[in-house]
Amino acid sequence: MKIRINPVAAFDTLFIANQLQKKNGSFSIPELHIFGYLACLLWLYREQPIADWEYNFVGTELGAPFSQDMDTAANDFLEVSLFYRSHERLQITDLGIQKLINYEKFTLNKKRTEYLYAACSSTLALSVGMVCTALSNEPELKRSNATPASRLLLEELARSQLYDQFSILHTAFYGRSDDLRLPAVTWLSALYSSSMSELA
Amino acid sequence: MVSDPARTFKSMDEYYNYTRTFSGNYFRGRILGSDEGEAEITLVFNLGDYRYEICRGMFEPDELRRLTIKEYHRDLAVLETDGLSRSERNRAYIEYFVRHSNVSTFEEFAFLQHFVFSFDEQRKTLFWNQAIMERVLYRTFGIEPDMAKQADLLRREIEKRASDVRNRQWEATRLRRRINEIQSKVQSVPGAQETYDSLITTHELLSEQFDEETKLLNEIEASVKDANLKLAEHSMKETALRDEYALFFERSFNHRPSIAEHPLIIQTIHDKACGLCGNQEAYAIDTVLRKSKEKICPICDSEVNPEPQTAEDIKRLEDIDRSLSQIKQAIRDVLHLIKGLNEEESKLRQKWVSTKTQLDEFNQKNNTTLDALRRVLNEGGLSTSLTIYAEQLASLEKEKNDAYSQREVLRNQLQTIQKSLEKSYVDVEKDFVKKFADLAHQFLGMPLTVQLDANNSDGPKLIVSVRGSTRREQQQLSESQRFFLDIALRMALTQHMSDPSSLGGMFIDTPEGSLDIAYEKRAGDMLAMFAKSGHQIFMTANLNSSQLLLALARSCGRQNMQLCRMTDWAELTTVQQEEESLFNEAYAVIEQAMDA
Repeated sequence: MKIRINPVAAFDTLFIANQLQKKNGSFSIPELHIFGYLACLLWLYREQPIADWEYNFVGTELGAPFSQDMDTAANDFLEVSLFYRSHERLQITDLGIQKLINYEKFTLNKKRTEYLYAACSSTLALSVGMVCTALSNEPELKRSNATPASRLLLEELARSQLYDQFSILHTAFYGRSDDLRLPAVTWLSALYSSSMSELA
Repeated sequence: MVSDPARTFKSMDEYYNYTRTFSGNYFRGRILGSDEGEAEITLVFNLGDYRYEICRGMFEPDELRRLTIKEYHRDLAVLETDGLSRSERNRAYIEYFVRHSNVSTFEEFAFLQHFVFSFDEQRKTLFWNQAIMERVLYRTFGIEPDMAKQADLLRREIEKRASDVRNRQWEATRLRRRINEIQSKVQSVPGAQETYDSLITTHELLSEQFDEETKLLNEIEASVKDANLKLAEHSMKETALRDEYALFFERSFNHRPSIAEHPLIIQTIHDKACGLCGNQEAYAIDTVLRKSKEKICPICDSEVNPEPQTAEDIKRLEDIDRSLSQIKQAIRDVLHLIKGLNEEESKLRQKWVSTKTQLDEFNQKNNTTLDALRRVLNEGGLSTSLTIYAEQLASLEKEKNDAYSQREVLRNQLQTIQKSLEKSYVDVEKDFVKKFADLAHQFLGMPLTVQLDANNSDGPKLIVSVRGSTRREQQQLSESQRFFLDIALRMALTQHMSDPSSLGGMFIDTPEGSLDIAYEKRAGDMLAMFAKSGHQIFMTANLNSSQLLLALARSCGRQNMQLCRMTDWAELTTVQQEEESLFNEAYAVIEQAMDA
């Protein structure tokens, strides 16, 4: 039986695909999951309830985030010509962009675009590869990588370490700009440096 | 020390004290009466930089016959014990042992030795024994070394306070009965009418206040009910709208695209090669472009009527989105209203409970007096002794409430150290889970892990997951899986707790008994993995066709394994003596495996 599409995850998938294509010319399915997860983390940074994100992420054994709902949407989009394959990567079609323009107007999606946009904009300061490396050092994904099984991410027990890091960011940006891109890039840069020093 | 299999674990101190006494008599009857004085056991072991040699009589759990503690590398004695009495020697041993091992108490060491470092014939598992698991987690992962002791004490105190509450309640009930009994012995007192009037006035005031508060409480409860009903109504509408939204949203992807929008055509134009035949000539691509704009299918020549997403569909989605936004706002408003009402209800309820308690206490204290006063005012007699009993009853009620409050304070303290445990566990989870998963995977051959469950009312516990599915109940695993996963957990805990310069070991008693043949070799490999990482295993095993010992011997080899023949010094039965050649054959096979 075909899995029913989750409209919110489908919108996020289209939005991220369009942003990544604008910034990098193309995108891949794992990148959609990574930037979707980053947007969800920024949602938590702003102290929004995790349940309101409306779909879950799983941490794979490789330490990468994965959302079943985003995956279903991306594969459906390939079937209906909203995405197409270009060599090893994907591109969004004009039809896909037209759909996105239609859905962006909806209030259901409006609130999310700030988070999705901030997540994708991190690629202006850091390459996609650096964002991936940095995010793999995020406490939840790091835990997931360390244990030999896939696990649901952002459950209550594990969120405390994340909130500790966010609290430092809140303090650093207190009274300054509301632009989410600032804490996003700062946090990712710190995670990236930490990854590099661990490798060294 | 030998533990009593029938004894339920309550706390580390209680376990140690009981087991020490139990051990003092355990060997009586197992050792000839004439040998009791001579029977003793000597143990030599290394602890960090020190070598200990202790000798204890089999019936003297609180004494030591000999004790030597030397610095291992310099062969230098650190303690002279010749001038000490046997019990002083035992106390010195405990004091030095605690200092050199970094356990917080000797009781804690006895607990760890019995429940973590030993897997014996009692087959008690950690995974499915909450009281023991909780203490082990605090000891292993707690930030402070005496955290297990703190948790142990707090749990014990919480149970004691709960028992106090029950006892005081029972006493209070008994006293109330007594008050009723003495009603008949009431004697007359002066000023009965004044006392009666004063009591009645107080009662009427309290009753009026209680009635008023009950009315207000009922009204606010009705408002909460209405608001919840409204919330359910809005939530139902939201669910229906979301379903409709999802349906239209999905429908918007299901329309048949025009020929030009077909994935094959898009791919053809992008790759500049026909998606069907692969022709890359310019004329072929031009033809595809031309045909893709026509209203005839290039494959079957049928007329094509593309079904573009209609403006109505988008309009409908917009309408649903608007309705959803409105209903969400309505839900937020109702939730806000409910929050306010709940806060108000909570305050009112507190007042109502307080008034009710006052009224109940008044009734408990004065009903007997009032009845008696009524009788006296009618009959001319009253007893004053009821006041004394009423005071005793009030005192009991106070003690009960105090015990209840103390229990809550202790629970909060336990919760604080549990939060600290959770944090420190998350910090080391990566290393610990890997240790466990590596060992257990060696045995089970499938991916598995452990997770800390902190939402358990009996305290934190570790939950094992096999192939992603959690096994909270014992019956979800076979006996052999249960026992060997538990041994893997103990090994991982031992590895985690060990000082790198002085690795801890394990004592395992005949583990092969529970295994089916498929797992024997794997179990041997798992034990070998632990032993080869530098941790010693002291294990007893039956001589039979089990592959466990052979796998262990093959994997460890002679340099990592020492075989001791218990048949050389144990008293053999007649049957065993007749079949001694079988023992020798079995030994020979194991010896060969060690050399292989």
